[in-house]
Amino acid sequence: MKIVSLRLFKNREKSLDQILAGCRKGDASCQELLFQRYAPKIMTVCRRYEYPDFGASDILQESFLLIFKNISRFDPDKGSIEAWMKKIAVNTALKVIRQRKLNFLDIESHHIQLTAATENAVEESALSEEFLLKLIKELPDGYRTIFNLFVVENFSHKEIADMLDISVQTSKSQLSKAKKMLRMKIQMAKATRKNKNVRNY
Amino acid sequence: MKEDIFDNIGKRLSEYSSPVDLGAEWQAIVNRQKKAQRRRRNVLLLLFLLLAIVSSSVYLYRSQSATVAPKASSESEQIQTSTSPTVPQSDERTEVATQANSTAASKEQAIASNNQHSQTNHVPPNQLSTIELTTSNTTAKPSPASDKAASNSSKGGIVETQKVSSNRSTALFGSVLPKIASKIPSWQENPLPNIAVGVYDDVEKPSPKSRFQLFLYSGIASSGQQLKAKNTASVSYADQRNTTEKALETYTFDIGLNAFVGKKSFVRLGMNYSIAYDKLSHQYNIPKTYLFENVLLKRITNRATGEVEEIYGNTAIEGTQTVNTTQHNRYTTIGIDLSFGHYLLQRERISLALTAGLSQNLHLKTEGKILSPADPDGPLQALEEYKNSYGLGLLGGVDLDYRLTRSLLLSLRPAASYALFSATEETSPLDANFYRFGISLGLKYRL
Repeated sequence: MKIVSLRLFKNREKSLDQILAGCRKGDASCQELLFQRYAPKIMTVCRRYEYPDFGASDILQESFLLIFKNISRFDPDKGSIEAWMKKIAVNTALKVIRQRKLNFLDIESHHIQLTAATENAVEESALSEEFLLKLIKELPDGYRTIFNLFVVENFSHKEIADMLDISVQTSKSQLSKAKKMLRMKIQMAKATRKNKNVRNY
Repeated sequence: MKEDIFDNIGKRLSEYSSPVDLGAEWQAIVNRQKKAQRRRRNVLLLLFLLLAIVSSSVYLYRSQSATVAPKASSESEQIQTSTSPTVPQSDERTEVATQANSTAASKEQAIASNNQHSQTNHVPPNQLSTIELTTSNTTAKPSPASDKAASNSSKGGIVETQKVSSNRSTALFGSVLPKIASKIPSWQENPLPNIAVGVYDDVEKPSPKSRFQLFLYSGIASSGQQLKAKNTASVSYADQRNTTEKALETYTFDIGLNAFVGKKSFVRLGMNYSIAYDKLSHQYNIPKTYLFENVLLKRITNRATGEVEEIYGNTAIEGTQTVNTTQHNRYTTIGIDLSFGHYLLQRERISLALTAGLSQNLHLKTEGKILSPADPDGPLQALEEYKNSYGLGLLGGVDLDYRLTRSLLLSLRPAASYALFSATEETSPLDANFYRFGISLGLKYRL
């Protein structure tokens, strides 16, 4: 029992380089350490791209299988391991999106006008990340995908258009509508919270 | 300023760590790794088995050809020294032996001649029981060699012939096939009993003189279903369903028997088993009302006091929600195939045949489940459309054969089939006819 505990303790003390070296050799304990260290951050990516029939958990598992398979290709000079892993997670999700032939639907314009008319400066920093994720998840699939790729992953419209096999104009249009819809949702949420505060007061 | 909002959101989300059940997720990854390893191991095992079959077949063929040729020639020499200077080749001797074997008188002569020549032939005693040395009156059907033999006999020379029956094939088919063959006139010209002449090592091996050929195929295919609306009123249903037609991953197994009619044509009776995996995606656009509670509806300024009063209430926005569902199905089909085949090309090693025929298919119960965001473990709604059904189908293919040994052929078979009947229930607005394109690899063995 003591030996096991000592081994676990030893594993936890491993540096990232040691973990990566172990992963390259196919060491299961190093793979587990890498998973434990980065799974929460990769999960955030997965949650932003999840779909009803391909959930965040599926994307996470698929991504880590690819990561372990291709870990020897990772070049530390080109960027951090976290960025590389996140890129793999995004590509895994996009692969599914391309297979599903995602519809980039437009929500009727009067809904958007309603929100634009009531737009104020939004103190989004007051909203938790979990709540923001929930709001983003409520966006239509097309809006959500392009919003994530542009705003969070910092891809250009040209890159997004190439990745999703759509036009640059569609990407721009979807992003614009996604932002408007998200603003509306944030505005509504803020208003609701303010009202609750007033009541409490 | 507005863009700063989204920059901030992007930055915060990229740095955020979500709660994860690390233990469960890691266990799932380990299970998937093990599954992938098992799959890789199975593929390697299959490749190894295929390689082993092919290499052992080639080895058998080479060892057979290496042992047959010298023995045949040495035996020929022995016979020549013991009898007349001109002796027919092995095949001709076979025919002569068969003819000669039909009369009891010639048998008696054979025993006599056996007594005379056994010393010079040096046949091992344990094989003597299966070997008959007969004296022929050379009334076999005309051929250059038999003509020569006939001329030798007319000159007073004795032609010795040998007949060796394949014990194994006789035991298996000797009782049934000759009876069938005796009823077919064209087969009597080239009689069924398996004969291996002059090759003592081949006594236990079946000879490829039989009319029958066993085959065994295993392959992969792409299946699909041709969906047709039963009437115009239900077209809209087909549209609503918005089914994504996809090629289904299918595995096929075939086993059966070819019966040759003549040199180039054959009748094929086989049994087919196939299993197809299907994943159908459905997309629905459902009207949805988004309800927001306690929203700031309006501000009213009291002119007298100057105070601003805010009025909150509920507001509803009509929109649409896209719902994706995935249906996993499995179709199992068992078919009894009856086809007619004809060889277009017959070279020493390579041969090519076209086959076409009918298949009596039985579609077994479809299994599967529907995954939907609302009800992941919901009822098997769409499965009600399918039933256990049976009916005729068309099938066709090409047999590309490569001869490995005298009896064994490696065969590559691209094939297609189409079910003439619908696999859906009467109440279903759609007809679904299954079709399949695939390629199989297998072995044929001439009995």
